[in-house]
Amino acid sequence: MDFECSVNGKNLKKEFKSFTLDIPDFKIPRGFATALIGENGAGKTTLLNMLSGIKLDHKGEITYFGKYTEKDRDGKEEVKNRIGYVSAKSYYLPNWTAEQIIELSEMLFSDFSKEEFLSWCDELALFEGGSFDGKKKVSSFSDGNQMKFMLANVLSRKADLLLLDEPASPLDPLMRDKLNSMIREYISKKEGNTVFFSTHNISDMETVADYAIIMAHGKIAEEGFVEDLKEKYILVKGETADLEAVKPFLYTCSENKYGFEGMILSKDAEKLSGFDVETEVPSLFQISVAVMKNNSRVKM
Amino acid sequence: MKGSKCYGLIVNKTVRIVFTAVLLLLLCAGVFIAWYFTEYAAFSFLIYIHVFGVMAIVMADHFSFGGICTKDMADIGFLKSAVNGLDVLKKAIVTDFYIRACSIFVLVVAPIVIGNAIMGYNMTVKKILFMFIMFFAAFFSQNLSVVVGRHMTTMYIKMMTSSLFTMISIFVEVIALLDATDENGLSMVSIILGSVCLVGGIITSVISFTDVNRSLNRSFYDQNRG
Repeated sequence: MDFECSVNGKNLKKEFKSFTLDIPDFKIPRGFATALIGENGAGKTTLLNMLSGIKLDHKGEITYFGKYTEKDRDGKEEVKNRIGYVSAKSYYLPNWTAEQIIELSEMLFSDFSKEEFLSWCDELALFEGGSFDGKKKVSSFSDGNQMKFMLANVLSRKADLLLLDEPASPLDPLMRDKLNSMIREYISKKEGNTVFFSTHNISDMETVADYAIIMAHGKIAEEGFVEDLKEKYILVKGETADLEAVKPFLYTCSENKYGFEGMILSKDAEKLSGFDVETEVPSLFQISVAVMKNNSRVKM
Repeated sequence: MKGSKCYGLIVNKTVRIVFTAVLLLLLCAGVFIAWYFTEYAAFSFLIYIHVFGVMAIVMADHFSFGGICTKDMADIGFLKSAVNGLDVLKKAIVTDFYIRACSIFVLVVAPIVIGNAIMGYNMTVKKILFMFIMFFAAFFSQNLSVVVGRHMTTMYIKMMTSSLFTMISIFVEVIALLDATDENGLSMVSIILGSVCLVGGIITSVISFTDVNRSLNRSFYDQNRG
């Protein structure tokens, strides 16, 4: 499927002592929500830091909005302001107050709207009693409220691309649902608006993810539009008695007292004809777990 | 953008108000001491005022910039996601340096000058030299405390470290005071100690800028960081 990209990466590589991020071809489709999924230490944050310009020491080229280089991203306000970045770790200085962040945002981002920010704060019930408390320190917020505050901050700008590092992790289930609708609303607000987020909460974020990139050991193990991935993989359930015969065709497999459950690639599905197995369309969560399991060093 | 504007944006209003209030309080106490006690007895009490001044500066720096040179703090994703974000921070740090230097200068000089004027004492060369030795000592110890403190995130460890550095200032000021009360005037020891503090103050001033710049620049590179 052909599609326009908000971000393209070529031969991205970053080496650490015991880990190498190596992505020959990287893309974030324009106008969609892309989920970045992977085990702990798979390289999700490293990749997000590269894309946002938080870290610069990598090889390869990144192109934004089809024409801008990394140099443009760091030097041109009209490019940098089109990218909104949020990370749960070391984002603000700990003693900054809400009012200070508003003043800084107005100064640093020409497209920041205070009214919109206050409206987001109200909508996300960030302040007790509903009235904005400008003297409140951001570090005095709970982890979840800090994330809500950062999201309110970045959504009050007119960025075309949002890079969100683990936005769902500190949030409660209700707020995760709200986050999904916020992302949906943001994408439908303007043509070309794109969201790229990393997550471990795949089932919670499944409804919003259009495209998924699954990483393992610094490489992309699987990627594609979620609907395509759901056609590529099939969930298989069967009796324990058939397991040994079926196992060689399965992509992944786990056994329980009722039988087995596994994933098979659609192209291998006909190999199961003649066996008493049930098939289902897998969820993104099930696909992700299968891909991660197949690439994991964790003994399952 | 002007440095003062950047300082106002980065350092929160409460810190600025409390710091100014503490400084004024110390200044009033200093002037009172200089007026109430005899000439050199006042100086020995003023040493405490300098120590409290240094402590107030270290605390203000903690609440303004925290451990800005530590590995995690230097990332500041919010500022890095703006084209001029880090420039604003750097300008604020430069302005903060001038404010610190002026504060400690005023805290050392004003009580002596005002006290002398009220009491009708003469501002002798010896007294002026002594006053500058006091300033260099206090300036050096506050600079050293701030530079080292920016590599720490816990306030009480920062305060303990800076109390050790204020010993330098106390030591130099006491030597100079003992010298100043001597009829022969300031000895070479005081002059040398004062000069060492002046050089130390200049070196730590330079380090206070280069250190933050280096930490912020290094935060863009994973490989170079410990």
